[in-house]
Amino acid sequence: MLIYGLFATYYVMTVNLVYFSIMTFSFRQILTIFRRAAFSKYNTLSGSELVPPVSLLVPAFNEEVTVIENVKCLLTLNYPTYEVIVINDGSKDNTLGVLRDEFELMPLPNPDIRHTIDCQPITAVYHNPKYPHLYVIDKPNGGKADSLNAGINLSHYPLISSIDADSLLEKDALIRMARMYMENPEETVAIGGDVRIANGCVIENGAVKEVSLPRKIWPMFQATEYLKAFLGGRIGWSSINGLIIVSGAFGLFRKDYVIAVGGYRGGYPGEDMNIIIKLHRYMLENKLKYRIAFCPEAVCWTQAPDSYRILSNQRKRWGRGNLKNMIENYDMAFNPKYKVMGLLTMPYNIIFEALNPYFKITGLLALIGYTLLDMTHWRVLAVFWLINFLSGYVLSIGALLLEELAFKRFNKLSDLCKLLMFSAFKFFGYAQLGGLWRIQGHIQFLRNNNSWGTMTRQSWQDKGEAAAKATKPAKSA
Amino acid sequence: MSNLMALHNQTERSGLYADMEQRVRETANEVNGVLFIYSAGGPSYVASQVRGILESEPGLHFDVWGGDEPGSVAVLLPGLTLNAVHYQGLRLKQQLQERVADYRPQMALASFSSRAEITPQLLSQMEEKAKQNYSDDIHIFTKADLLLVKSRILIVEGDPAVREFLQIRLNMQGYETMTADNGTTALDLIVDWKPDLVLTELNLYGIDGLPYIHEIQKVGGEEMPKVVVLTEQRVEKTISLCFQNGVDDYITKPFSPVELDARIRRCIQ
Amino acid sequence: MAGQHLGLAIAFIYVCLGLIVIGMLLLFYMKIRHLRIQRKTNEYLRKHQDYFLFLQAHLGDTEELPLPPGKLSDLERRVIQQRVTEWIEQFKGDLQQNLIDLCYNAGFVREDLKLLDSLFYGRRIAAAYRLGGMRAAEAVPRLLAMLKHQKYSPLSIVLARSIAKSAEHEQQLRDMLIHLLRHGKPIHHLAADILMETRLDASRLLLQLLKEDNPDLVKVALAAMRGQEVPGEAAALGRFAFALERRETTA
Repeated sequence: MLIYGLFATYYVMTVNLVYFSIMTFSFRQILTIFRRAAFSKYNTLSGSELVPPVSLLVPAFNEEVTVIENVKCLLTLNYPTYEVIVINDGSKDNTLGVLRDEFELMPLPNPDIRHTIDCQPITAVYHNPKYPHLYVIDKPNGGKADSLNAGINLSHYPLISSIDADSLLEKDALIRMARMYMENPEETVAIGGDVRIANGCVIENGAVKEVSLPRKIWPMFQATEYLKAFLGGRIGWSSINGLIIVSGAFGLFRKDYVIAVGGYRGGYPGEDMNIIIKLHRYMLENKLKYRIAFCPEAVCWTQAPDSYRILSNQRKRWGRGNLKNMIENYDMAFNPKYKVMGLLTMPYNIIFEALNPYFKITGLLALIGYTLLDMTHWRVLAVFWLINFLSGYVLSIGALLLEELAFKRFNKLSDLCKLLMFSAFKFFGYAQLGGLWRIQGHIQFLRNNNSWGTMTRQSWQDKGEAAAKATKPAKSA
Repeated sequence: MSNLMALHNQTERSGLYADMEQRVRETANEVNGVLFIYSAGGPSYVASQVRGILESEPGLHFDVWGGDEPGSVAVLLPGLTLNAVHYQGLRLKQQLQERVADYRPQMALASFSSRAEITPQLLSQMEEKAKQNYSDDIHIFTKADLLLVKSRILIVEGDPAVREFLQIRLNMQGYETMTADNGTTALDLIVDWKPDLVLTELNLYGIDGLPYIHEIQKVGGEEMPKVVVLTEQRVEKTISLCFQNGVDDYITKPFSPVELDARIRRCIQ
Repeated sequence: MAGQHLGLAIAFIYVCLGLIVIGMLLLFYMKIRHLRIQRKTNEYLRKHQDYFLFLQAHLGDTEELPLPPGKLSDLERRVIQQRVTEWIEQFKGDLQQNLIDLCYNAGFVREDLKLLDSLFYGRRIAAAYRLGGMRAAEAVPRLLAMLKHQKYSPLSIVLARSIAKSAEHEQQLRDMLIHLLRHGKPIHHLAADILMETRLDASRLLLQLLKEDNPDLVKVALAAMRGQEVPGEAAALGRFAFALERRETTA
């Protein structure tokens, strides 16, 4: 038992060392990222014919509460030429009706929709010349991937961007991604955006007016997680071209390559990671020079789940999807043909992410058992636990440093303290729950349980008003 | 204030203006700068402070009168053009605020290119403007202040620096202006305030671009304001669609403010 | 045996603790410093609000624009420089020129030119960016040298833009394009956008570039002609080239 316990301890040290090295890659990049954002103005690009046009694809299922605000936000992006395609995925509520009423949409008699990728046959395409860049596709339910594929079939432009129906993009987010694309147009295949938690922020007119930390504890824990994952992880992975996932909430893709890999895989969660793995595979197998990048200054705000039920369902879903992706692509692991993706990313994700909770829990159990045999061995248990806690905390602090170096979005000293506290409290229950949810997700996969779970939507306005009322009165300008 | 005191003050003040007009005639300059400082309940030694500050500027000719009310001062700066008067006003405000605690002066200043313009009525109007200037800014008194009917321009611009500049410039040219920083407020103001001209960006929060132009046409009604677009958008399709939808002029950024003035003037006529 | 492993684990713990302490100290230091600078900047913006109104009211005058009265701290000068640069970005013509002259007369250009010699790369790039904002023509040769030695990165774009904004001779723009495109990245559209930030006469410049031997320069000129007010045939040529390109990339 002791040996297994020691093995588990080494496992934890290795996991965190690998994460730490990825984080050092992030640190190497962070100053360039800061300077790129600080020393650029987008005033010439945002109005220029030279910027490639983009189709924004917004799959919507039962989103009648937030879809209007979301679409209004998307229609006012600072970008020269783009279109917004909302795909109503057979909603049971009045999503389509609400859209049709608000924008006075009428069905197009002859929509020129191609059938490049298989998807559920669409019912109709709605449009209003008064809003020349807005299209709404109505189709029977087929899932998020299916909707994205339908959107690709209608899209008129060479670049596509997948957006969640509850993402609130910053005005400049798309032009910042496009600029990154334009710095390397032929090689860039996909770019991921930064997703931040909007709970607790004051939202007005479709934009985040004041950035604040969430009030409730579930979103607060998630805020620390997202900072670590996006800034600590994705920046580093993308710098060595080993990025395994681009958030479905906000990502930019070359349409031709997405079509070449057969579009999005439907029927199962995890299609956002799946498309990226497919793209890596395609580019590497065809020996094409490419990069899949991450643009942390392009920000999309989203509402994080604030109840145990919704959060656990989301994490189980992620667990399910990740396991399926790993199993479908295990041939890439340790295969030098797939370069960084094969030698680093896939092994890391399989051994240190998917199998993570198992090693930790069995290791913990082994050491508990060992301690129970002879109480003087409590030190070993303590060492194991401390290593888990402290190395994880180092990474959290690293993420906060990255945020402070490049973005400085949290403007109060109290926010910093709150973030530091919650990053510590995470290890007293939340991190363990995360492991549990992942295992539950794996079990669901093995049992072929594929329910989506529901997320109850709250209007952005309600949240904005609630946040505004809660913040202290008028910081006078 | 009792009637007697009001009358007393009026005669005192008209005495002040007469003094000033007299002084103007005495000095040889055609160009003269005038500055009024007012501060409700201000300290009475302000006038001597002002004299001291102006004395420290080499080569400056000036005359200072203390007004009847404590804290009000009138200054004559012969020979100074508007920018020089404004600069002296800046100096005065800054140094007075350093020397006097919690001092919030209300200022109005002007420069007149001919002596004949300076009449007691004009001076009294100018001092009135100073007294009614409740903002922290120095008010520049121009011929535009005398206009009874001014054209209305609604400035819609998200960038606060550009918005401020446009408002200052158009105010000085004699237009009455209001500003909005997003599309929805702009549409409300078009309905409520009925401007003669809307000077707008296309990149706004709330509603923007072509849908926004459509809405302007819809809410404009019979008294449709002229629409001048001032924007970074240079895509040809957008420009032509704007013109098709009733936009009167389209100016791209970066822009020449002189050209903008000319185009606005042409649209308003 | 177990003791050896445990020893390693405990050393690991101590290293973590050390990193945590250093990290937290750094975090608080950076945050507090940033908040202080922000607070002072807002103070200065409020203090000089009258001066900024003064500038905006008298931009069109023929007289030289002065700096505000009194002594100014370094941060104050930066704040003023930043505001003036914002206006320079928005305007064209005489008013822009008056603001550029103000930057020269106030010594802003001189200070940033000195910073180009700094040992810290971050300061050099920041100075290069500010010089571009101020359209400082004297800086262009130094900026070209920086661009020449810069490995291809987003900061090459920053340098290229600064050069484009400040250049007073067409040859400098041509050199900028050559340095930018020598890495072999197909960034002709981005280069065209950068090129068009110049204050020099665009149509003459583009027609000259069309006659160049270097195919990269020709492509940039063609890209730039799209959507520009250039005499007839040249504009049509640009649109034709774009249509060709678009056909190649649409799915």
